[in-house]
Amino acid sequence: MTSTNKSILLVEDDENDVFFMKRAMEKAMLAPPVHVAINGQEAIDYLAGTGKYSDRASFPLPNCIFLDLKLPFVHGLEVLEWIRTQPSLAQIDVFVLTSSPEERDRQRAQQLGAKAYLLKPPTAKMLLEVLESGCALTA
Amino acid sequence: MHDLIDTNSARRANARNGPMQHKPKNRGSLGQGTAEDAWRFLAAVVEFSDDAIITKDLNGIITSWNKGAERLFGYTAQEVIGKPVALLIPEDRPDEEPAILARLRRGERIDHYETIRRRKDGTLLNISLTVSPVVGADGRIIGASKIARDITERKLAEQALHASEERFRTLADNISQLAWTASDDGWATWYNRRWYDYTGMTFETMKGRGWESVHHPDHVERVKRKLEETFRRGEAWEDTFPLRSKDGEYRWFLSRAVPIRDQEGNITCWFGTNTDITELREAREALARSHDELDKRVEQRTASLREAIAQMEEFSYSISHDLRAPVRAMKGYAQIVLEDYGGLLDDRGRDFLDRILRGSSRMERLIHDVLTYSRLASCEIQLQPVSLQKLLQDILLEYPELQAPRAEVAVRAPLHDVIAHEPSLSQAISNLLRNGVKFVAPGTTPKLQVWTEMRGSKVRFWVEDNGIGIKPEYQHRLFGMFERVHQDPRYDGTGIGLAIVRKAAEKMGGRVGVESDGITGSSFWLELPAPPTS
Repeated sequence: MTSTNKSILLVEDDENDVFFMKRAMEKAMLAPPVHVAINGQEAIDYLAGTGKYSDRASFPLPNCIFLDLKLPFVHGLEVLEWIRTQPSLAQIDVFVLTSSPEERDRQRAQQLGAKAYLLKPPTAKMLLEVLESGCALTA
Repeated sequence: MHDLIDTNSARRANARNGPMQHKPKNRGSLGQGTAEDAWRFLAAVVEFSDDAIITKDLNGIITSWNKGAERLFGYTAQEVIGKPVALLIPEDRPDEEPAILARLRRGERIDHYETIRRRKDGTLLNISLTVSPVVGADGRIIGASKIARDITERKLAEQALHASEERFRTLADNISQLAWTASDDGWATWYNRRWYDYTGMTFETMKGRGWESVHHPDHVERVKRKLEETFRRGEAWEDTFPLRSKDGEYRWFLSRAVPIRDQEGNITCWFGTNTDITELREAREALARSHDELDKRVEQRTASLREAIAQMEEFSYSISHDLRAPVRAMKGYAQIVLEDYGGLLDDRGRDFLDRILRGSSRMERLIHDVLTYSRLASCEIQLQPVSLQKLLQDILLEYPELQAPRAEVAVRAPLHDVIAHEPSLSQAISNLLRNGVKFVAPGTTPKLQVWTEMRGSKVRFWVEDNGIGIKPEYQHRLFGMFERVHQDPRYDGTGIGLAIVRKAAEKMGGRVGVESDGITGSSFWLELPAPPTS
């Protein structure tokens, strides 16, 4: 099991999908801390460090983000848009993880700088593939 | 009777001596020579005048009768001298002569008195009389001298003119337009009856510039300006403006005027008409309003329609997401149980989990296909030339089940271009190909043949497979929704794939069909318009 002080932000509203993501990570032998934001606004607050998230010891900036698209309050693509406007977040890889195979979503995500566009459910294989290309969670 | 001008004796003298000739003793004027010569000269003047000159005494007896009178009345001097002048007067005017004589006695002259006299042959003629008293040497009136002029022609002309004017007036009063004449400076000189009927005015109030008073205050200035300007230029005038009726309401009139010129080309007056176009204007306005109304309604309907379509798209988009999530959960957990606890189960237990997994997968495919179908059905498409050749290559690359070693797809190039909507066409062809490789006998490698055929202005795209075929009796149901024409569980299909192909074909203005003997495979075809040949 590899562990580092790097972390992942998972933006996902469906608790089942959160469970499956965590299981996939286990299967891939990855165990960085995973913080979950359950909607788009929370994701932005976390990344901006507003409110309770200003405590960066407890809520560190992640190395990579897995972003669902169909989120309450703020849509995943809007979160992505917002991330692009934040220079301090430019280093973070964003992987879109969604159930939507819509071509228009894929294109928009690409335009907004997503590193990859992944379809649920996440598998260990999928995670190893994408995380190898960036993020460097594996030692 | 005092003897003064005895033209009759002069006449008698003429009769004896031949035509009287003026022979002045000296050359030159009347003033020279004897008194007798002078009188003779005057007598000759009277005698040979073209006008009828007649004298009578105070009892109305004709005392002299010149050549002009002979010509005019037809009587010779001999026939009438000594007879009463009443001979010439028609019976229906018995009082005329006495009235004339009475005036004469008073010393009055009668000037250009128009009356009617009768000729010798009985015909009537119009004459103009000038009657002067003849004064004797002692200053008393002894008779009268009349000059009669034939005014028959003039009278006829006058009557003709009058009749013509009557005709014009009748015409002018009965046309439906208002009509008028005006002088060069816009002063009205005449109106037809319609004008008075409409305005309720009289000539007194309308003459000259009186017409300004029935114009609408908002328009009268511009009308005056244009009229004066146009009249000045001598061009035909046209204008549209409201006029007030006798009830006080305003109606719109299209008005025109043309100049009337004399022989030298100078304008003598203007003739104008006004035509009531109120109803026409109202009709036009109503039409314009209807048009606007219609446009608005069309816009509204289109907007509603667009909204409905957008809503449906939104609906399909979100419904698929919302339906997928629980299915994904079901599948995921079943998978986890199988992975983590499968060992604790017997075969039956594991089989149950497999069934759950298969069911979930099927559910996912159904949701996907229904979404595809609804999106296809509701989208607005634009048709363009599409290269089937290229499209096919892309599709073959996209689906592993169409590639070696899993299947063989032989394309008889070149494939003809078609007019289509590329995404829909791609969907349709993918479905046809993937169907083609799916329904084969176990152990057989699916082999597909793909080609195009020109049929008039259409292109028919063929996919022939070596599959299990479709029984002829089921072929008519093949393209329906959720229709599956076999029950073999080895072949998993949602029953929507071909419905999608048919919907796509419909939207692109094409058709689909199948040929199969039910045993040796099937041939599916998709027909679309060919691009116009260049």
